[in-house]
Amino acid sequence: MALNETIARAQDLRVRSMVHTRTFVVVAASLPGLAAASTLVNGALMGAAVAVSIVCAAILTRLVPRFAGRVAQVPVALMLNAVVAILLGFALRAVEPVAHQALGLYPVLACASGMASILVAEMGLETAEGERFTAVDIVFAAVSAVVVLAACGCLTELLFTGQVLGVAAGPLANSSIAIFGKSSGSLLILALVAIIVQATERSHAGAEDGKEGERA
Amino acid sequence: MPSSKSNSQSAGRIARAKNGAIYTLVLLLVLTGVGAGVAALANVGLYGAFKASDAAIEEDKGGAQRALIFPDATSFEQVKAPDIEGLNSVWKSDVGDFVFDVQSAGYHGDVELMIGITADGKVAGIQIVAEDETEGIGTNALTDEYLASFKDMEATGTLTVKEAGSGETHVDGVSGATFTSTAVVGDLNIAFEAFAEVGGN
Repeated sequence: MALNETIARAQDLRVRSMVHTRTFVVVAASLPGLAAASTLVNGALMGAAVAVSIVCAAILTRLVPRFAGRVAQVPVALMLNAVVAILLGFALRAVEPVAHQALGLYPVLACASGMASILVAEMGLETAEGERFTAVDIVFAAVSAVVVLAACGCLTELLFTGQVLGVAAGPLANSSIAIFGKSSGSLLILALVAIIVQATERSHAGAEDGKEGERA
Repeated sequence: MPSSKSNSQSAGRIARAKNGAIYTLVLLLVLTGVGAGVAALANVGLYGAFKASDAAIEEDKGGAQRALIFPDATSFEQVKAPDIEGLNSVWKSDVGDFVFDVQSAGYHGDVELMIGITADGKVAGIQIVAEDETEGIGTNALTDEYLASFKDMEATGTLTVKEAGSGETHVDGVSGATFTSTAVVGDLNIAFEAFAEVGGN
């Protein structure tokens, strides 16, 4: 039994090393929104909804353990995040009704995905205070999600309608860059942003190791 | 020393209580009520904003359909609609063409159409706004082909699918879709009457 617990803990730590990263949060949160980011406005609105849901979920994962026991933490966090997703949907309907109707259920799905990515990354295992995402990590992930979805929407609109914000596609529509306007191209954009986020994560981790080495 | 021991004991009691079934149940019930209450309050508080949003959606949808009828028009402005039963709204383009949002009783509820009439009094096009006619039967009178048959027709007089009386013009209905054909013709008559009242013909 002790051996199994040790193996289980080692496996959990390996999984944790993959999901407790900004990259995982950005990729998991942005995926549902890629399908709906058909214009710059749609992509930016989806990105904003995902960003707010990531920040709210990060705040809730820190508040919930203060008043909820281990058994209740996940359902309480899910319930509170669901209320946030509903309120975000109301806000989108009030501010941009036409876009809200065009996007349908996608904003709610994107919010749920953003919140789930934070829950998976931060909850479930014992987490020392120093191991949690910092405010910089959360804001960076939120901004990256906005960039991904807005960029996908911008390129899709540019290549399918021929122009965006007065800028014409011109010869781009007939070049190989046109793939970025398709669904598969959206995944390529997500992959590019994920690489950049992962690179900042490695350089940030490297800087932290360097500081610890100096202190030692 | 005794105070730190009692602090740790009380912390342990609190932790055990938080993990208890009754505490968990009460917490979930309270949060469910709070969450539902917040969502309901937000829905009530934003009622006015939602109504404005729905109006904006209708306007955007209508704008797209008006652009289909008159693709060369750069802008439309809403004008005061005459008091005619079945007439919902009247829009005028920058070049003097009109778009009438009208509805008449079909087989299953009203058939609402958007009918464009040019400044010189000819039917420019018809767009379907809302209908609930029987698929494959009533909808045969709402096909692009049937609606296009009214294009370039003079927007005067009264149309009928029955035998024309004095002052009436007979038009063909769709066999098996009499109610819907009658609704389409009724919509056209409302649009013709409104066109005459807003200054056309």
